[in-house]
Parts: sequence; structure tokens; C-alpha cells
Amino acid sequence: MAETEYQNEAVLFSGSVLFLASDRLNLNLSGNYVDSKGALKTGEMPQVPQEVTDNIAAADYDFSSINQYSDLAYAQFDVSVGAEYVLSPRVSLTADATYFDLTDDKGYVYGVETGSFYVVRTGVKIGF
Amino acid sequence: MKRPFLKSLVVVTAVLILPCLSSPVLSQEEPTYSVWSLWLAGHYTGYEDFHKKIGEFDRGEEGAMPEVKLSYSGYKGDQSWDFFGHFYDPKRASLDLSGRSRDVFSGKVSYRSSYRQRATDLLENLMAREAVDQQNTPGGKMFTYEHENPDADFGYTRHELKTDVQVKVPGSADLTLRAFHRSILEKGDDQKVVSMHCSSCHMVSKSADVDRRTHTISAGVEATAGPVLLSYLGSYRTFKSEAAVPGAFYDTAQHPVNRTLIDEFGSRTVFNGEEVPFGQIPETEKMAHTLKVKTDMGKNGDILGSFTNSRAKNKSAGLEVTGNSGSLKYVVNPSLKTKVIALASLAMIESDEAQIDLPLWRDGLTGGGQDFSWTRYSNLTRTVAKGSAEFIYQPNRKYRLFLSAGYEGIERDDYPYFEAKGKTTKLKASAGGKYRPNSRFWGRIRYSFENIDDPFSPYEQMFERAGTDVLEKLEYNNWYYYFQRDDLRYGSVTNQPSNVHSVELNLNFRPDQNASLSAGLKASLGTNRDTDSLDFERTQLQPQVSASVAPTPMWNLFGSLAYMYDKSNGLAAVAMMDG
Repeated sequence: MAETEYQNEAVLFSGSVLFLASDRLNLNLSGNYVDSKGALKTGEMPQVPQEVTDNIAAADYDFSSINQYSDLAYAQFDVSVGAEYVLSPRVSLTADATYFDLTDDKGYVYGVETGSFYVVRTGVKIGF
Repeated sequence: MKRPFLKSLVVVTAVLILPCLSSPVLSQEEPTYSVWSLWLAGHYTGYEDFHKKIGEFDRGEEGAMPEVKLSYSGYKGDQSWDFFGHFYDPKRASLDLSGRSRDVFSGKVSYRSSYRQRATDLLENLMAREAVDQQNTPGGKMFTYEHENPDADFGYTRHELKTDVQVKVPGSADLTLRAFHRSILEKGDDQKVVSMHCSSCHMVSKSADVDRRTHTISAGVEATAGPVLLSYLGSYRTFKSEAAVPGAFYDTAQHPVNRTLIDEFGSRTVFNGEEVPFGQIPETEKMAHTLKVKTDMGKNGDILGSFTNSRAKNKSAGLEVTGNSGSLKYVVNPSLKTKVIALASLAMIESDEAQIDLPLWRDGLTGGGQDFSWTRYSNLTRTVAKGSAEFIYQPNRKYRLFLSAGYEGIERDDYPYFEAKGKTTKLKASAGGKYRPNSRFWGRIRYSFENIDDPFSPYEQMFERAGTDVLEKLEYNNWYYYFQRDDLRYGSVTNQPSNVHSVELNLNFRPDQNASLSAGLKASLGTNRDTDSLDFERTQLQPQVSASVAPTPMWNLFGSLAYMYDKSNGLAAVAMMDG
């Protein structure tokens, strides 16, 4: 048994821009970014007593990597861009795309979870 | 499963609309407004690499999908309706409908569906193997695992239906009836992991159906009589899993390498070498009644009192938790510049004890025959008393100062042991102020301190010293079993602090109508130097800044940046293989 420390840090950023390009066209851009890390500090494990090794010889008492057991490191971001073009007071066209991305530097219970997905949309809006 | 939902939706929608339709015919002069909006669209979803984390709440299927949104908002005279519907894909859709007729009736109904992808615990991070000598030559005792469904895509769909109806009794402006309903259905499948007995050191990943159903209904009445406001709310909630209880074959308990000594190993387990149901989700129900009263005593202040009686039952195990709680809040302005808020509450919770019946341990073997059947008393059985007072002083519109003090006492009847009446006492104090010199700037700061005497912790059983010298042997038996080792056990270490200092600061600057800037900081330091094995310390910091600016009517920009830091110490302990 040894004393250790667990440290968790995260940086979060989010931003958005709305731009009315003209009476008919508006544009938007937004994004979020999160970088989080968690790690155990290496602990000074005590020497296993002779009494234990004499009675339970069949064990590997190397604790040098137990601090890595709960290390986590994620970087995640999403970015979205969209536009709406007004054809008439009652009809407008929309288009947007969103990209999500995750980088997992410390695969853990579920393995390395690095991956991404995107969604592209277009549509027509009618008011009446 | 969808049919009851659709049926409920139709019934509730009819209940919502009928009172509106039954209203008197409106004259043509009454103001009328309505607007429809229809959005016809399509989207394409694509994935790269592992998508079950980043797309945890996505449908999990690549490809194109039509998408529709429909909304309506309108009123006619004193009746109004709003509707919004969105079909995103077959697993995600939403619908909101609300209506109001004069000031007599109002109602809302909403439906949401979503999907959650569940990743699979690979079990690969669990590794242990014995060495047969000090040179780490591997032996036969080792951890093993298997996946019965290695390619499974676990996940479940969640449906939520809510209704909220409010009626003012005609002829009485002071009596209001309210009814609320909420149903949550989750259906799909998920991973369950079976952990075999220690002797086989073996885990098995299985697929289990998910079919969880939660229903809540509430009804109440609110009445005003002069300066007194009275209300009652009754609430009933049920939870049941309709999925079949999964079963697993538990390995035969035997020597992990030689596959011998079946009688010896088996006599230490409750079950082994047989199919056993596992992971059963209990069926539960809860009934609660809440009474509230509020009186306006003019210059003498306001008093708000409440009383709640609740009963929660685990129908599968036949266990109940009952609770009775009451609270009083008194708010008074001793002068135009001062305000006092006093709070007091008392709660008593009683949880049934559970009888754990076990077969005799090592029955028929030398040194065996012990009966370890026991009664598990719950630490939820407790009395909680709280009291606090806050004093607010505002000499003018620019300044406000506040000071508060509070007490919380928790007495657990049967923790850490039967009738022990273990106590945790919390004393809290905080002080702060708000400063607003002009309309462009305001700031606020608050400092809090909390002292916790005897925070909750495990009781002297966390660790075990090496050795056997202090232990007593069983008659005719030279082995030491786990139940003989209590004299070696110690440790009440906890990650609950006994002192907490915290600061919260907010600054806001708005130079003009087109720009704003804010900054804030939350910080806390919690310590506990009263435990026998660890001087616990936890530090948390959370600064943040944000800004928004609209330099011209065409541009609008917003940004925020936050940092979170959390550090605490603890103890790392490694379990010894083979005892």
C-alpha cells in the first residue's frame, strides 16, 4: 500500500460566429473543443515483507506500472457550419455540416476509442 | 412497445384539445394569429474508426435519411396552441404540443426518443498470473475471460412521454388542480459481465436484453385563502424490467490448476457448477405525499412550511424504505436595507434490514460448519436535522453584503454497527458581497467554510496487516480463513473531507450594448487529517472567461474558455493473488 495522487485537468473552448451576409443569406459557424487528462502519480510501493514472499512465493511483486492503470487522455472537438438562403418571404433553403472527432491516447476499458463522424444536411423551409 | 405509446399520445392529445374545442364560439372580432413552418430535409451520416464513444447518442448507422420538422403557433381570442414535431431518424424524434384556453385550462404533452450506443468492455485491462518462483516463471493460476458475443453492437432506444395539465376550477380563482405524467421506456440490449468465484478467476461477457419501464403520475391541488397558500401533491412511481432475467453457468469450484478438491472449494461457495440467474433488476415502486403551506404576514415576513411522507418498496426483495420530513422557511425584512432568511428541517428515514441466509461454511469438513447467516442493517436508516440563517444587508443599490451560518447533523442508527448511532456533524459559514458601481460593471464574491466532524467512511476494515501471529487457529485445522483475520484488519480511510474552504468570484463588464465580457473563478480546498492511514487533501480550481461582441448588425461573435483542475491524494493497494 502506498500513497499516490490522482490529477485531472480539462481545457474547454467554445465559440460561435453569426454573419448576416445579406438580406437573403445568413451564415453560422460554431465549434467546441475539450482536452482532458487524468493520471495517477507513481507511488512508492513498500517492499513486500519476507514473511509474505516466503508464504506466497508464486507471485510477481512488480508494481512499477500500476500508476498507469487509470490514465486517461481525450481530445474531442466538433465544428459546425451552416447557411440559410431566403428565396422568398415564405421559402428558404438550408444547408449545414457538422464534424465530430475524438482522439483517445490511452485506450482503457473499451480499447482505443479514437473515431469521428459527420452529418451533412440540406433542406427547404416553407412558412405559411 | 410503441403501440401503448401511440395510444397514450392520442388520448393525451385529445384531452389537451377537447377543452379548447368546447369553448364558446368566438366572435370574428377576436384577434387571430397563426403561423406554420415546414422544413423538409435530408441528412447523411458517415463514420470513421471507432464511433461508439464520439457518436454515443447517434443511431450508429451510416447512410442517408429524410428529415422533417413541422411547427405551428397560433392564438384565437384567449385560446392558444403551439406544436413542434421533428423526425430525425427512426430512433430519434420529438413532439411538443401545448395549449391554453382562457386562464382556465393549460396543458402540455411532449414525446422524445433517443438512442444510446454502448461500447463493449473488452476485459483486456484485467491481467493477473501467478509466478511459480521468484524468477517470474509463469504458473497455471491466472485470470481468464471470454466474450459470448464478441461482435455485438449493444445499445438501446429511450422513449419519454410527458404530460402536464392544469385546470383552474370554474367560479373559483383560488383553486387549481394539476396532473402530471411521465413514462420512460428503454429497449435494446446491453453487456453484462459474470464474475465467477475466486477459484476459477474467470469472467464471462454476455448479452442481456434491456426492457426497462418507469412510470410516474402525480396529482395535486393548490388553494389560496386570504394570505395563506395551501398545496398538496401526491406522486406514484413504478419501475420494472420486463426483460427476462439472464442466467449464467457458474464454474465448478475446484483447484484452479489441478482441478481437484471439489468438495473443499465447493463447500466455501453458496453455488457453483450450476446455472444461476444474475443481474436481476429489482421491481420498485414509490409513493410520496407532500403538503405545503405559505403565509404572507406582511411586515412580519413570510413563512413556508412543508411536510413529505414517502414509501419506497423493492417488490422483488420485499424491502421498504419509509421517510418523513418537514421543513420551515422564514423570510423577513427587519428594515428596508436588511433581510433575514432562516431555514430548519428534520428528516427521518427508516430502511428495512435484510436477512442474508447462507448454507453452513465448509459443512462436514474439519474446522467447518460455521453459520455466517447475518442481518444487513442499512446505513440509510438515519435522522437528518438542518438549520441555517442568512443575513443580507443592502445599504444602497451598489452594494449587497451577505453572511450565513448553518448546521447539519446526521445520525445513522445502525452504522458502523447495529445500534451504533454514528454521527456526522457539519457546521457551515459563508460571507460575501455584490458590487455594482454602474450599469456597465458588476462583481460578486463569496467565501464558504465547512467543518465536518466524522464524515462517512468505511469502518476499520480497509486493509490487512501481514502475518498470522495474533490469530487463533481452528480446532483440528491449521489453515487461517478470511473470517479469522479480523484482528489483522484496520483502516477507516476516506475521501470525504473534514474541512472545506471554497471561494467563488464573478466579474462582468458590459461597455456598451454590443459587447460583454465576464470572468469567474471557483476554487476549493478540502482536507481530512483525522483518519488513521491518510492525510487526505483535494484541490479544485475552475477559472473561466467568456466574451460576446456584435461589432456591426451583421456580425455576432461569442467565445468562452474554461479550465478545470482537480487533484486529490489516496492510497494504492494491490490485492495479493492466491490470498
